[in-house]
Amino acid sequence: MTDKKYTLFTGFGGVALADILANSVAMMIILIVITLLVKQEQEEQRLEKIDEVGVLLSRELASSVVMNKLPTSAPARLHDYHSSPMDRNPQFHLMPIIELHANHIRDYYHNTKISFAELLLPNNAFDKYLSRLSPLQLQRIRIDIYEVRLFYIVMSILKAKGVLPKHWHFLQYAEGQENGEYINNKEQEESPQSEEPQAEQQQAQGENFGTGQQGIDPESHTGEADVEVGIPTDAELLMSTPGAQQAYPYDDLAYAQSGQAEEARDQEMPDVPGELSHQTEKQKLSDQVFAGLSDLFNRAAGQNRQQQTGPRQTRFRNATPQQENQQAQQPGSGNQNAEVQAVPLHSIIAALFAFMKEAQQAADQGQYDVLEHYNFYQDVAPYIGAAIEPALWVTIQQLTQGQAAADENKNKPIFVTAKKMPAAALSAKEENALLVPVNTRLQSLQLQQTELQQPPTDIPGKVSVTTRLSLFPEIYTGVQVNLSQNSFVLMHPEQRQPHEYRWRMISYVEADLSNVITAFVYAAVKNGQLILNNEENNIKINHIVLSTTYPVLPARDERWLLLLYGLTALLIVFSLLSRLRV
Amino acid sequence: MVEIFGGVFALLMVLLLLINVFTHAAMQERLEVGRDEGSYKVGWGAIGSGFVVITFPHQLSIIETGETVARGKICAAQSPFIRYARKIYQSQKQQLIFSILEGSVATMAEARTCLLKIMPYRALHIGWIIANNELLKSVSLDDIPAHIKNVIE
Repeated sequence: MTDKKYTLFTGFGGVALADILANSVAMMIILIVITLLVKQEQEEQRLEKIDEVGVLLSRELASSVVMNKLPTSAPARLHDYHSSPMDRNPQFHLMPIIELHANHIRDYYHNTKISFAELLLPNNAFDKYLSRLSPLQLQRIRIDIYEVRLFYIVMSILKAKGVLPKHWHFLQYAEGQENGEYINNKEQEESPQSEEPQAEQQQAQGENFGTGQQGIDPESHTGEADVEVGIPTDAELLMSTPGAQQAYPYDDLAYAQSGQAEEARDQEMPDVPGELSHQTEKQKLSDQVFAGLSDLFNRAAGQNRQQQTGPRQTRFRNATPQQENQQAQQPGSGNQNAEVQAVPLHSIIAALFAFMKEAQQAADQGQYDVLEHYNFYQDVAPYIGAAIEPALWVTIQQLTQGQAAADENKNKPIFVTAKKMPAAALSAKEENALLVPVNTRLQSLQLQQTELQQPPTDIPGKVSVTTRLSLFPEIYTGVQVNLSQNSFVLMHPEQRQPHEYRWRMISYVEADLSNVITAFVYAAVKNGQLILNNEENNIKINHIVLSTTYPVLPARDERWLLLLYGLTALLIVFSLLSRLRV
Repeated sequence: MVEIFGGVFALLMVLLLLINVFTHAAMQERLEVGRDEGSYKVGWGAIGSGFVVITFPHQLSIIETGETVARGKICAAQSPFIRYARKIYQSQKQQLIFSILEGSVATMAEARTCLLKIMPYRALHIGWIIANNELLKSVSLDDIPAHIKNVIE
């Protein structure tokens, strides 16, 4: 009998456990190697993805820029090349213009060029050109950059002459001019520079620079038409609104017509509370340069600044009661309100609608404080420039027209009629409700009543109608506003659904556009009209509160509970008394 | 024999776990370095900061987000540039800095026009640096010619 060898670890299916473990170890080693390789590959891929951005500029340059080894320009103020007072009427004696191209520079006015090779020569034509300019012209020189290849060479020459250009244009070639060769066309012949006196031209000439043909109209080769038109510009918006130019109170294009576009928009923009009023010193310097140049060119053009009338101010606010609002306007105490003027109103109103749409959705999802910290610049301004919905065009047009008429009728009573309905057709909420047209200038209102109810004695007639605008979608706090003639109640068209009563976000616009209050009202919608419920909105006609139609509350459960407790107490008392007698 | 292989197997299991943990941590660290704001943000201390975008002949690159926008679509409705510009200009102390490469002035011009379009109500400021081939080459060679040094310093 052979001795059977007992082992703690038996094999499986004839394979020894030691062999299984040995194979497992081998597999584990392979697994570790594969894991390391995969990780390395993943890491390389992800780093490459990040490096794509950094390598594009070259890591050396990026780090140099960031480490301020290569300082960027000082903050430069953007301006409109077409409507800026500096650029609308370029004249050589006011503003010499040098164009930088790939292989040459060019005098804008005289269409003469200096090649790259010539720029490298000492005392070249560009040096002579600069030496002939007056100190005033040197200060006002403008550089139009089409290509950056010669930038540092030109700048070194300018710096050697003590010239520090403060006016730059970054331009792109129009079609057919990609090679930097200009196409003489009719616009060239009609450019304002054709009236340049010959004597001035000769004064500015270098040996080979500053002589020759007229320049071309800068608008002919800015190429801005190539820009995506998904977001309409103010100009596009305005031009598509018939008659808007005649009655557009905040229209900067109107100022442009009188030569004050950029200046009006920038200088008359009031200081706004909060961080937007802070400017860096560099930015202030840029602004000062900008304002100085604008002023210079306006004076040179003989324009009278006093002729312009001051723009209106529009105050965008929420329904915070006035006392709190005043506190909020104290410096450093917040920025609930903002005053805006000289801003294209159609853009603002479109942005306001977009904000209301988003905010209503947020409120519907339970965000009750969506208007509590309402701030125009933070909440509405980001929407400026977004595409305007066609459904809003009529409203925006109405808002921007008829300003004079609105001024005369500010806070005037509005005509109110009573709309009688069968008692069975109206629910309790709908009685004494006010029917208010939305997104149109208010001319009349209707008070909805049952046949049995008596309207106030002044109805039908012109009366004072006030309603409350709520800060939150609940009866808590708000402001009382006067629904006067010519005022507006704005509501996003999408909020017409559903029809039933709910808290809806609206913006109340005073007739003279001086106040725009965004708030909640409790209302239903029917036939495009808001049905303002009397109870939640505290409607008053000629300062009289309309009677509530809510029924008296019936006996509630608490009364039955009170009776039960009383009976129980009596039972206990009687039982105690009976024991005492025993 | 079984005990030896069993022990080695257990050790390798632990080793695999450690390798996974450490390589993951190392990769995160390296990725964080790649995302370091130092590669896109120029700080000016208390007075503000600039965020670098690079313009190429046919596209614009936003360094911070790694997004690129093709020229001609910079101002499209859903453009990442618009989203980024609005984010940057929420604060008056922040602005974009354009690094303008050779052949990319048209891209930069489109972007600046877009800024004016989307924020017409504000005075906007930008910074810019001309990064032409001459500058790039001299920086990479760490030998900046005098005429460039004279301008940039």
